Amino acid sequence: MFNHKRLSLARKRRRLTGKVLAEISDISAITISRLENNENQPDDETITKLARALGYPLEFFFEDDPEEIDTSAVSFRSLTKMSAKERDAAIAAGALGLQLSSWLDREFRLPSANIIDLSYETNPEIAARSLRQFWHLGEKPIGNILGLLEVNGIRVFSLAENTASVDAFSFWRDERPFIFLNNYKTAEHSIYDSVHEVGHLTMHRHAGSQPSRAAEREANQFASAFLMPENDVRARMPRFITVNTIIEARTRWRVSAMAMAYRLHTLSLLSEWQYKSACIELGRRGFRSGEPGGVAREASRIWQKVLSQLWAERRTKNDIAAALHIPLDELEGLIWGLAGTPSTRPERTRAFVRAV
Amino acid sequence: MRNMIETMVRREPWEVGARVVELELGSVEQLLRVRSLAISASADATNFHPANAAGTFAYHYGTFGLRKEYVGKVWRLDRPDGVEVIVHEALKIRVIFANVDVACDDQIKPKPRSRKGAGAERVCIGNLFGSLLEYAPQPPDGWRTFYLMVDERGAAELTRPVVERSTFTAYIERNYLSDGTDLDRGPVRLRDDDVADDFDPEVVRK
Repeated sequence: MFNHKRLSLARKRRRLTGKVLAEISDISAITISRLENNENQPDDETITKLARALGYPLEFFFEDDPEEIDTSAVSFRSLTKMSAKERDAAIAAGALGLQLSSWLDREFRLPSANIIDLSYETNPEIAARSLRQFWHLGEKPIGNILGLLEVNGIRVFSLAENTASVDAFSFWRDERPFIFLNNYKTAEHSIYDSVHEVGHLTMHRHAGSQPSRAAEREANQFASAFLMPENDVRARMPRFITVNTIIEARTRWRVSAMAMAYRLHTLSLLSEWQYKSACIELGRRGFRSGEPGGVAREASRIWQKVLSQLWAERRTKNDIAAALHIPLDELEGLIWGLAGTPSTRPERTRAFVRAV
Repeated sequence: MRNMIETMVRREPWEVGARVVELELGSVEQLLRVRSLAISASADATNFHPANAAGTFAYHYGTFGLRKEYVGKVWRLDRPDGVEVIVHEALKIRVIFANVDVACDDQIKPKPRSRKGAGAERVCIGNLFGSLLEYAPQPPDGWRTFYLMVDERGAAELTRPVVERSTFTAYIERNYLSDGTDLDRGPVRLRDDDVADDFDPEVVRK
């Protein structure tokens, strides 16, 4: 039986309004509206037209209801900058990610969640220290955040959103924490975003309602403190800090130069004036829009192992996509930038784009 | 002739501190903040900048820092003859920022890293004294001009020089503020052997 929720999901993933989908699929907007509201069942020709316009396999529309994500429990960054269409597309990616995660659980045994609930802790610095202690990290810098999250059972997926206004989001589902990252940003940005989301997962698990600006600030402070532990930073920085010192130091903690400067400022190692001057100079040198000479992108050990195991069984990503009844570009999008670093990002299926 | 001028050198923190207070320049720490700002700015120069960028940045931010620290009720900004100074009307003192080759060294007389123009010469006694033999001369207009001299190491002194022929030719008084060792300009202490990166999640085929 045709599943109207899956039609909505695919349309949102393709960032199409009902009206535009109607135009490119040659189906009336009224029909699409009635289908999405489960007021009609489509005939075979209509389903074929929709599948072709959306670039999704026919089987996708006959699966069970997609796992719905409670948007009020999702921690989004850059809330104000994100359009409703971007938000819907990202949430829909989350639903596909859950489908992929269920497939992983059916096929492989992976680490279970190992993260403490710090929702009682109001001080992000202390929360960051507590989680470091729980994970036996001490004050050491972390050379591979993605590996750390995977070992501790946090599922990380990529957001195939080529937009600056979506950074990341996270949520809990059945006692498992999920993070969706926009990997089209710099490696340092992704590292910081993932720890920002860990901050939400551990400090705001029971927040319930829409995340506030205060929660965003706390998650930022958490990420800063977790990635750059106070004692290690103090022990290693010279008293006299220049922009060159900041650029050199960022590589130890694998953060952006801007994040490094901010941390030094919060630890009073840079005065307000020095911090502002450093930000201006870093901006001049291109560190606001990018990360010249930055670190290499981290790769997912889980996906490397999964894909190599499947390869040994003569199976490929095509087979995973076919098993899930999702387009290959959606699967590629969910693991892009995680399973090694491809030179180009996955091309969306373009069947649905045409001049109207 | 300027060699006849006997230089008063203050090296000890207690006497330098007292002199700085006497000149109503707050504290040695305050002057050293200006020094640090200038050194920090000079470090912003990269290989892509013009070769003189480090000195230019230091001069710009040193002058800026001097004004940021002091301009207010007592000190005000001035540009006599195009020379960038802060002035204390009541005490008739001017202070100028200058990059020098070496500061706070008894054996070496600090020389400016750029040529001083006619304006600087006029505000720093210069030819006004002709060939008179002077001991701690008083300029005819009663104004005294000090330089906050900073070298590349971060050594700094507050010095009242005589400017002639585009350089400092004599020194009426030198007050040693820092030999630069307080800056701790050492590198970031990076070591790669203590990084937590050994994370290998177990993945087992069902």
